[in-house]
Amino acid sequence: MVEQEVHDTLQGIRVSEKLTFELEITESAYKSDQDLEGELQVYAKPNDRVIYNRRSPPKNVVTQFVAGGPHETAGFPGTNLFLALSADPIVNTEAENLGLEGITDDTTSISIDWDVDEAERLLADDERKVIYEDTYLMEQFASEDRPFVVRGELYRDAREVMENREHMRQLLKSQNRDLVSLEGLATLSITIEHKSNIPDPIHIDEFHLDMAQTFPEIDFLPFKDATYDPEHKRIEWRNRTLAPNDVLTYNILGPIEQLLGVGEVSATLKGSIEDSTMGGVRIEGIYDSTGMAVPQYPQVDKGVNIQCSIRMDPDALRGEVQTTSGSQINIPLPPEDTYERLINICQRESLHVRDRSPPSDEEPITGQEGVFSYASPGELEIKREYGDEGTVYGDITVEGRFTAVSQTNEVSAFDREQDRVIREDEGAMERRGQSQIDIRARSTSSELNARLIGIIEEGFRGGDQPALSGGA
Amino acid sequence: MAEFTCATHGGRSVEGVCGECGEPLCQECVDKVRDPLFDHYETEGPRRLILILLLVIGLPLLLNTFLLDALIQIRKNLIPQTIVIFNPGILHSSVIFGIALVPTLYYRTGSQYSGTVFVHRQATERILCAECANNRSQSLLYFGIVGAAVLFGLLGVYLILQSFGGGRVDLTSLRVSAIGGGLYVLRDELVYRIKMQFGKR
Repeated sequence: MVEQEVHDTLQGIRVSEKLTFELEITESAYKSDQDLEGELQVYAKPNDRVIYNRRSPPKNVVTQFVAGGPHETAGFPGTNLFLALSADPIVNTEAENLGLEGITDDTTSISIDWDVDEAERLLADDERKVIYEDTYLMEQFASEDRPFVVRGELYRDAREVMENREHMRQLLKSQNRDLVSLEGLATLSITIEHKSNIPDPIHIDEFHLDMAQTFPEIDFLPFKDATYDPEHKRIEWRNRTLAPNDVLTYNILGPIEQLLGVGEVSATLKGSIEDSTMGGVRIEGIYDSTGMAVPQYPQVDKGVNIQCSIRMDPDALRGEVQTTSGSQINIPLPPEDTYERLINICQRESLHVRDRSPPSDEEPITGQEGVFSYASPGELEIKREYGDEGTVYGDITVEGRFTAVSQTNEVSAFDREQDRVIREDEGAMERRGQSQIDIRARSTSSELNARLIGIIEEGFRGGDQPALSGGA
Repeated sequence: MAEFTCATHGGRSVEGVCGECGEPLCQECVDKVRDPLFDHYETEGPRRLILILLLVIGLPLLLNTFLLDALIQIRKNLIPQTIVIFNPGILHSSVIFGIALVPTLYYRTGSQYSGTVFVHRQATERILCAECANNRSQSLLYFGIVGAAVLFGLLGVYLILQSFGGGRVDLTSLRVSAIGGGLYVLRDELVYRIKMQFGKR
C-alpha cells in the first residue's frame, strides 16, 4: 500500500434525493405527479500535507540545478480516485425514461487536486469542499413506486369513520377524545400511508394546510401538536414519524356545510427518509490510482427529501362521500325461486337491473343428505334514480340451501316411493328451501339507501306466506 | 444498471481496478505492474545520501590517507601481489557507483521538523488491466536498460576472470561492472526521463 494524498483528503460522499410529489383533487382534475432528483456529492478537505506537497514538492538533486525547476510526476502526490457506483432503484426502471441518468460508468474517475491558496483558506476555516457532483433524474415514475400514499377524503360522519379505522381509534385515544364528541361532525382528512417498499421510516417535519375560508367551530385531529393560525387560515403540524405500514391522518372537523365552505385547501408536506434512497445508489468501492481500495472508507450519507404539495377542493370530494347501508332478509324459499321473485320485484318497482347472474353450480352439503347449496350465489346489481336527490346503487346476493328433490316434486308426485323420499327430505330441512338476501345500498345519503332497501323488503313482505311452490 | 463485477469475467467479485482506466478486475485479472512513471517517495533518502558520500568521498579518502601508510608497511613485509585493495579499479568503481546514485536522490525543503529532508524516489507497484499495461512502450525500455545493466555487470566479471593468472587479480575491469550497477540503480529514473522527454506514455 503506497500512500496517496487522496486517502486523507477524501472526506465523505453524500447521495441525496429530492422527491417532489404533487396531488391535485379538484372538480376538473384528479392527478398526481412525482419526480425524483438525485445528487451525488463527493466532499474533500485539505490537510497540512496537501500544502506541503505543493509548496515543497520533491526536487531532484541533479536536475534541480541542471534542467531547472521541479518536474511533473504521475504518481505524486496521488490525487486521483476511482469511485465505483451501482444503482438498484426501488422504482421500476424498465420503462425508458426512468434510467438513472448521470450514473452510467462502472467507475468514475475523480480528481481531488488542490490550488494551494484555496487549500490554505479551507484549512484555516476548517471547511470541506464539494469536489465532484453528479445528478440523476427519475421523471414521472409510476405512483406505485412512491414510498407513500396520500389520500384526501371527506366524510359526513366523523364518528363512523373514526370508529371503523384502527389508526383513527388510536389517534383518538392518544388525543383523549371520545367518539361521542365527534357526533354530528364531518371530517376532511388527509391520510398518508407508508407503503413499506423502503424499510426506513418517513419523518414528516412539517405539514401545513391553507384554507380559503375558515369557520369558528373548526376543530382538528390530532389537536395537541397542531398550531392553528385563524388569521392566515393555516393549520400546521410538526414532527411526526411514519413507520413502515403505518398510517397518519390529519383531520379537519366541523359540520359538513361548513367544511364544504372552506374552499380550496392546499397542503404542503416536508419530510425526509434517512439512510435510504429511492435510486438505491450504492458505493461499491473507492480505489486510488494504484488500483487498490483506499484504506479508509469515507463517511457515506444517504437521504431522501420529500416535498409534497396537495391541492384539493372539498367540493370535488363531495361525490365520494358515500354511505353504505345493509340489510338482510331471510325467505323460506329455495334460492332460485327467491332470485326470480327478486327480479319480479325489480321489474314491478322499476328498479333498473344493471347486471344479473342467477345462482348456479349446485353442490351437496356434506353431512346433510339431499340438501344442496349453490357454489356461486345469485347476484344482482341494481340502480334507482331519485331525481335531484341522487342515485342509489344496490348490490344484492342471494344464497341459501334447498332440497333437490323438491324441485322434481311435480314430475314425480304420483310415484308413491318418491313421495316418501320427498317427505323425508323435507323433514330433514323442515322446508324445501331457505334463502338469505343480502342488500348493500350505496348512495350519498343513508336516507336514499333506506328507501331502496325498503322497496325490496316491501316486495317480499307482499308475499308474507311464501308457501307457494317453486315454479309458480 | 449492471452490477459492479469484473469487466472480463462478469459475476466475479472485484479485487481492484485498473489504475489507468478504472476498469474493475477480479482476482485473476489483477496484475501488479511496477510502473517507473508512477512515482512515490520514501524516506530512506538520508541513508542513500550517506551511502553516496561514503562511496564517492569516504572510501577514496580512506584508501589514500589513513590506510596508506599502514598498508605500505604491510606491502613491504608481505607478499605484495595478494593485496588487491589498492587497485585503482576499486576506487573508480566506488566513485562510479556513488555518482550513479546521485540522480535518484531527491530533497524537499520546508519540512515541519527538520527543514530540508532527503527522500528517495521509487517506482510504484500498481494494478493495470492487460490493455493499459500493453499500451506502454516503457516496459520495453525498462527491460532494455535492465538488460544492459546485467550485460555490463557480467562483462566486468568476465574481464576480471580473464585477467586472473599467476596469483594476481586485476580488478581494473570492476569499473565495467560498476557501470552496470549504476545503470541498474538508475533504471527507473532513466525510463522516467526518457519517457518525459519523448512524450508521456
